Amino acid sequence: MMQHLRRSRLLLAVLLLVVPTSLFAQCGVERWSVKTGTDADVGLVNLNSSTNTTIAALRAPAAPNPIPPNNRVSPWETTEWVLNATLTLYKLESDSDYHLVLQDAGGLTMIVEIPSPTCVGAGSPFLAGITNARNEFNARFTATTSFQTANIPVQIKGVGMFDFLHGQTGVAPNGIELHPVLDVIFNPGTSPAFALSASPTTVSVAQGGTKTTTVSTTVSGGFNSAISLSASGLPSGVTAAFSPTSIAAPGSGSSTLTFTASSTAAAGTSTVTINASGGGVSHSTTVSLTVGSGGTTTQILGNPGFENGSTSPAPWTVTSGVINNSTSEPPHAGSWDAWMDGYGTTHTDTVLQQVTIPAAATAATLTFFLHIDTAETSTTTAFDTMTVQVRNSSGTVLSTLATFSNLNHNTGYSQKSFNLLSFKGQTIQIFFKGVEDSTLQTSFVVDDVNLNVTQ
Amino acid sequence: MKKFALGILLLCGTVTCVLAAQQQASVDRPAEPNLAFDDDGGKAQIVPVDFSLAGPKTFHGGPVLASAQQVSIFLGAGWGDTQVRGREASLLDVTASAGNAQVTELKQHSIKTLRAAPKLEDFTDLSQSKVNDLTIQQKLSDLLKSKAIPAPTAGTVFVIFLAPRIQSTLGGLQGGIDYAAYHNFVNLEAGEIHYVVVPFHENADTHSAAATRAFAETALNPNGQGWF
Repeated sequence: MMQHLRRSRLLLAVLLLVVPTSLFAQCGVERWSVKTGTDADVGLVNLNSSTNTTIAALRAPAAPNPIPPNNRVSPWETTEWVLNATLTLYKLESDSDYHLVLQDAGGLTMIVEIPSPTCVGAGSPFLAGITNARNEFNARFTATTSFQTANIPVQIKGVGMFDFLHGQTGVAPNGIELHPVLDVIFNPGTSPAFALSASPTTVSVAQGGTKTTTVSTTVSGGFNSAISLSASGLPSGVTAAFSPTSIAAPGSGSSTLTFTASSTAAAGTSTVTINASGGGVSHSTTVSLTVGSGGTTTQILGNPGFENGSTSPAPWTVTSGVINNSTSEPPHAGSWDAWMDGYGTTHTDTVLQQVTIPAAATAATLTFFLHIDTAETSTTTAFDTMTVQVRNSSGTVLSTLATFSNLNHNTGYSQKSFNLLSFKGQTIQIFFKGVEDSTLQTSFVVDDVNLNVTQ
Repeated sequence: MKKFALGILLLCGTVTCVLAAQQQASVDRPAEPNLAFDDDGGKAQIVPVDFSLAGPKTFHGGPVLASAQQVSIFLGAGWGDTQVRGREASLLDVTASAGNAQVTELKQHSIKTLRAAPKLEDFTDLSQSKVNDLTIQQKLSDLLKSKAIPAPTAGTVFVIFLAPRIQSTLGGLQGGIDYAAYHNFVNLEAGEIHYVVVPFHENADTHSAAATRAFAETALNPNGQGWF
């Protein structure tokens, strides 16, 4: 027995001496808390729903400057994205991450990474997903310290993360990655499936009022079934009605979801879960529903439709040539609009207005109408972009609400909506910035910008 | 018993050799000369052991530092040895020599070299251990958080001199074999940190020359995309 123990100890000692230390896990440093979900903002990440996207769309936004070391940039780093692409290369990095290079049909690439679960804090809400993704990957491939070629279609689910540009293999120009990856499906689309989304995902309704959002489904892999819809998590005094109540087979379509708040509905913000099921497949997504306390709602932006004309755009501050009444880009309503870019040369236009959201606000919703037309023909590359940001009075970016591009071109106008209640009590700038590259025009036309505040 | 132990050693030795050979054979390198992949997939610039392989540098775009100031960190218990410690003086300000070719090159590109800041000695016992680039980044993070080293300015370059018997690695490369020094950068709460890592070299002149080259390349090529 003693001899056996000695042999075991000797074996352990010898192994410790000779096994290269590189075989033991070591974890990363740079933005590691954000990469693994132990940062201060991880609570902002909505893991109850996911949003379909593309490599082109993720590469579109400009990288934040500066990139916060331990905080998140919304919505890119607070959203669980779903991406279909081809996995081309993979490698085990010294920080124990699996470095995966994804490529779309147009050749655009980006990186997604699966950390080692041993490098993820126990309190991370991502731990279960990371472990799941790591196991899924290990079941298919063996990553080593050299790049290996895969060339296999994948569906990746993960949370966005802006990495610093270091010349990484396959990196997107803005450094965005899905990091961590929470789920990997190899060869997706071979089994029937559908995707579910809602727009807008933020809805404010006053007591005694109604508001709507549109629920949409798209099918893949030969899915052919009706999809039934339901809502749960409604606050007291609020009802939800779908029209139609189900999406007819084969399962692609939309339904208008109407929230009706009674005069005694509970005030506050709730997360409403929309459930969809059909053909043996179920999905859910969420909508943030704010019930106003029945107070007065006031639109607090000045000159919201730019109807003061080009000679006196105040309180907007705009770059030259933006305020427009030409028939080339007609307004949503009235006579004037804000027409950013459209030159077909390298150009940047901005439109901003400073405003204070009262501290007593119970709801604050920014809406505007947006029309985009373009001469760009790409269906994959965002050459020209318009970002919508909230900045403080010094111009520091507090939040990037959305980034639109030539890929989002539309006929007519569509209304956009964002919840700004988190900025109550602050003086902020509503900031639009259109950036156009050296050729082929894209026009971003904004009109009827409202900031409705209830208090 | 001896036969058993010998057998185990032989077996493990074989396993180690195979693993080492696999590792050595499978080290990915970027296409650019004298660049290497670091420990989280980015690129870092190395000073080859044979300086003649460094070759002339070509500008490929990207920023340069307007000025560069050395902050020396002597890392490892080995620097506590009196004889070794005596070498620190010659490494404290690697651009102090006006006739230095690297300094001349920096001047040609209008990069100012500032007088070196005070050194830090960290006698943590790292002897017989491997220190990779992640270890260096974590050490810098810890030193900055504890204010053991000053918060960096735009021109600060932390130059980390490793004590004897510390094995430096960068991605799959090994200090002393694949490189004489390297430089890299990392973004921490204190901002973007530029740093140089110099493994110990028995020859004092080679040691200093490797540090000087890596320091100059940091100023010319802080993010690895400007000059190589």
